[in-house]
Amino acid sequence: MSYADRAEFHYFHFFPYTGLPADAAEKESLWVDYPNSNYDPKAGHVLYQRYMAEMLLADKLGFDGLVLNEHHNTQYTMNPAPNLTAAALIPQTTSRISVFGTPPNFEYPNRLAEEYAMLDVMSGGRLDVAFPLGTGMEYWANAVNPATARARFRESLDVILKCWTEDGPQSFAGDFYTYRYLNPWPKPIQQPHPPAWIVGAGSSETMELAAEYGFGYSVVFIPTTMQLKVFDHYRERLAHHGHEVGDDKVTIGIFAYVAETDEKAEEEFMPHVMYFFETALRTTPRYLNPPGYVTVPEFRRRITSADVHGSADWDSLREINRIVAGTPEKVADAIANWVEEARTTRVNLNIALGDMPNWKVVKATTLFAEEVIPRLRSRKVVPA
Amino acid sequence: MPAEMDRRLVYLWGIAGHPEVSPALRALEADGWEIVVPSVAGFDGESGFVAPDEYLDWLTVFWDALDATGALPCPVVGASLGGMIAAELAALRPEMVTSLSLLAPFGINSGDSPGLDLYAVPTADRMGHLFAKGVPGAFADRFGHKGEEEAPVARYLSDIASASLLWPLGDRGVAKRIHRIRCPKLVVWGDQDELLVPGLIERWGGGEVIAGAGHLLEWDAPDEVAALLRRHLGAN
Repeated sequence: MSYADRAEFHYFHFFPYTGLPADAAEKESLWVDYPNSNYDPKAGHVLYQRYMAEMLLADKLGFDGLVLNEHHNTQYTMNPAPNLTAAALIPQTTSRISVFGTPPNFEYPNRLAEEYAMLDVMSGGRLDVAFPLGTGMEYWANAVNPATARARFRESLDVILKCWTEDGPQSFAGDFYTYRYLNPWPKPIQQPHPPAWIVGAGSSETMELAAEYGFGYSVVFIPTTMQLKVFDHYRERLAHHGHEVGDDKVTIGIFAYVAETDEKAEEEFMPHVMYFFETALRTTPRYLNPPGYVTVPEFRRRITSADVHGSADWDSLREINRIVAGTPEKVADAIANWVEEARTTRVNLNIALGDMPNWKVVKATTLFAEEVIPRLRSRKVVPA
Repeated sequence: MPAEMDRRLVYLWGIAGHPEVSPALRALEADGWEIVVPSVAGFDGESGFVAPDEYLDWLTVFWDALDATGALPCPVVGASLGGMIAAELAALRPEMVTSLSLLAPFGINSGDSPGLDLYAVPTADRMGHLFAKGVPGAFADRFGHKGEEEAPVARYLSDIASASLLWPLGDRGVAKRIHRIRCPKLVVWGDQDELLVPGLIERWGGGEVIAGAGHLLEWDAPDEVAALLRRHLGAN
């Protein structure tokens, strides 16, 4: 069997805040210190209702999962607390729910373990989670010194796993967190715990952590070719640590749009992709890399790497990201190739992107579910 | 106390590290003062530095370094970040500090007027915000001797060292301990300080404000700072 005909499509929605004032185009960064006076709660209410409806549509159309993420101090997403959104989705859906995810560094780890366990129990075992370190930008927004980020992250994971996999009460004494009675109720319904991934940006430290803990690995904001190399290394390290190298261990992100013709799809999709990369993601290198957030080897890599935050053109974006707009056949072909080269069955699919209007989201989501997924699942021959 | 130790003082450097003795302190050296600068990893940009997790761990690092000099008890001069550490030393180990001189110290910042966030300034522009009268040569190319590839890494390590102490506001609760400082205290500020607004001097009990000086005022106003230090050290 090919990866394509077993691929799972998890519908990723950023819940972006749109309708920014015209002068946003002149701002160096729309993260961290872009004034929240530009946020209109009434407009936000309308957007929440719309985005929830789009997620429910995806669920109804049969997508395998719904994916939420978390960021702070930014228009990029209106989900600074995605567990709340997940809780609202659970009783209205039947697909899996992915919280990809709350950075453990910004919660007490026992509380995050409790929240995820709640969602897992509430959903009857439909929860997938990812543990991001958090982008550099989040550390300007939260009361955590970035110099402690990686050590704190590892310790948080230890606390969370202890909460999920060991019976309490028990004690835990770490450098950052100390518990006399670690005894969270509830515990997750999925055993030993909900499927978990670590989200990284290609650093070897984060990849190694995912491999060591046996978690899946998802990587964002680095070029596709680099992702593939990191995935290969991750699989080697996963096996080295004695974990099974499952087909869904690696998650890839795909930006896709489907329309009647290739030209129409590109015309309808391109402005929103450009908005996403040029506006929604726009920030500065200094916010990306607060002091201590990355290790020295990773710092060396980053100062010589291309920056994907806030500047791009359509062709170069397609060179370094998985972006496809076209007919169902074209989109299916592209995705088949991508999942085969990444050797994965798990796709986080981004259709709703940037300032895309609802009608386009509904159109492309429906066409993808009804015309693309069946094409992939009926394939017997994998494209070279 | 031996006679030679009567003219010994400890100096704790500021947010940009300690490339060389400042002109103000060189003036004191010319007066016969021995300037003792403890060695603390991180600020020198050398690899292998790992920032301590907690503030108490950091203070332990400084206490160890200070004790290793063998200079204490003696007068202590602290600038910027070093001012915060000097104030902590005087508050927590008061028997070790015979007089305290603070030059625009971090350690107290209510957040009402947080001042410039130096870590949010592009690296190449940072030094310009520390001085009101131009960046001294010692700081202009702080790690240039390490070469084109290694200089950014050294700067990053130095930033980690200072940021792990000062992130995000540089307030470590010194205000809650300031009442324990019982030695004579001099506080000096530059009225052009972009990082710590000069009004903060009142939170330290008042002091001297030097016109035209920026955050690292011992470089901007060496004569004025040296005169104030001489007067304070001489009187105590």
